Amino acid sequence: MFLGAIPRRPSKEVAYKQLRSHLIVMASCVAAIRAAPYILHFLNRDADRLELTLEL
Amino acid sequence: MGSAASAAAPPPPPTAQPHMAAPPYGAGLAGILPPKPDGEEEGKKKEVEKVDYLNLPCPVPFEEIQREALMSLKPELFEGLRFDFTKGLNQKFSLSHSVFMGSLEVPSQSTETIKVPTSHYEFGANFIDPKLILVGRVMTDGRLNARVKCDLTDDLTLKINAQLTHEPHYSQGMFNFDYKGTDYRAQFQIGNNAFYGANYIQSVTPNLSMGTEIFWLGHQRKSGIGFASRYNSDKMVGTLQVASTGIVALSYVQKVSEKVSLASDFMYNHMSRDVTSSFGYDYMLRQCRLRGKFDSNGVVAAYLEERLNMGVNFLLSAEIDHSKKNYKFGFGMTVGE
Repeated sequence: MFLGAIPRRPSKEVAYKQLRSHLIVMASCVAAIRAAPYILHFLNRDADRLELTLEL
Repeated sequence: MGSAASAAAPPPPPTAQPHMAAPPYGAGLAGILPPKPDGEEEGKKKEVEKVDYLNLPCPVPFEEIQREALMSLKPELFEGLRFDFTKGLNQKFSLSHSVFMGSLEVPSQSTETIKVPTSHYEFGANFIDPKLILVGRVMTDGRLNARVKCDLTDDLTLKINAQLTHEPHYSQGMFNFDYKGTDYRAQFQIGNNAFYGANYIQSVTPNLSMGTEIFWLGHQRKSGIGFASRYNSDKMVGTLQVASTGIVALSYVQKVSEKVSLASDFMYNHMSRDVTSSFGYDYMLRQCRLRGKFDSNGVVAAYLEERLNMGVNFLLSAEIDHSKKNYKFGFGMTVGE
């Protein structure tokens, strides 16, 4: 019972696997956040063109 | 008040250390929020302006996205007597002396609160330069705190935090490398016990910024990841944080007028099934600043800073925990700025 109370450290393989997955997720999030302004810029530009067309 | 007069004589250097007492009547919460646009025309003009997504502002640092909420909800409450004296020797160098007498809460297994009377004196030395900040604090119980902030280049900053004690294996140190880009900030941390951390935050629109962080505890072989986002306008700030450690944190701050701001936050820990909601206020009056909060655990707190004279401030602190029957009242004074 006493030993069960102490959280056991995970093995190296399991810990490194989890760390690798966390790194991949973080890199994906950084890439997505990095791309968001460019996508918004592109969408905004298209709207400008449509607006001009309507004016004509 | 001879000491106050002598303290006022030399021009005191600007104190920008969060570790020290909060600067009295620095920009209150209402002042920190972005300035309000002038008149309706400015508002209309703002509406007409198109958003330039390739020229976004730089976001606040990742670790500070909740700073407005923390100002109201976590003031520097204390119990007992507190006296802080700061004397500037010249434009860059200053010394500080602090005395504390009160009770410290000892963690215990039972629900009873156990307090131990204690007192200590703390001596501090500060060096503040636009590119280099050194802060040292040494206490009579043998602890030493050191902080360094150094601008390596225009965009790269090094920060070092260290806490040294005479007890073996209890000292801690942390290195931070902060990089500031045009519309993003990145940070890398190295600490003892094989701790490594990194975070990244970037503006997505002029009002919205999003970020992510990761950490690795080498000795425990544990890693975690977190996400954060923040939306702020000239009247409000809202933040959201989620982490793989099971923590969900929300906060919202609303500026009611030039002198009053209200804050609220919600904290949920999935691992320990702990949940707390808090509501706080920050009231700036002519001669004093009053902050307080209520939370769902039955805690009511208030913190008052009143300016008695130039460079002399009076402090009152109160925290009442009804559920634990833990009552704390403190009073103090700060001399010198």
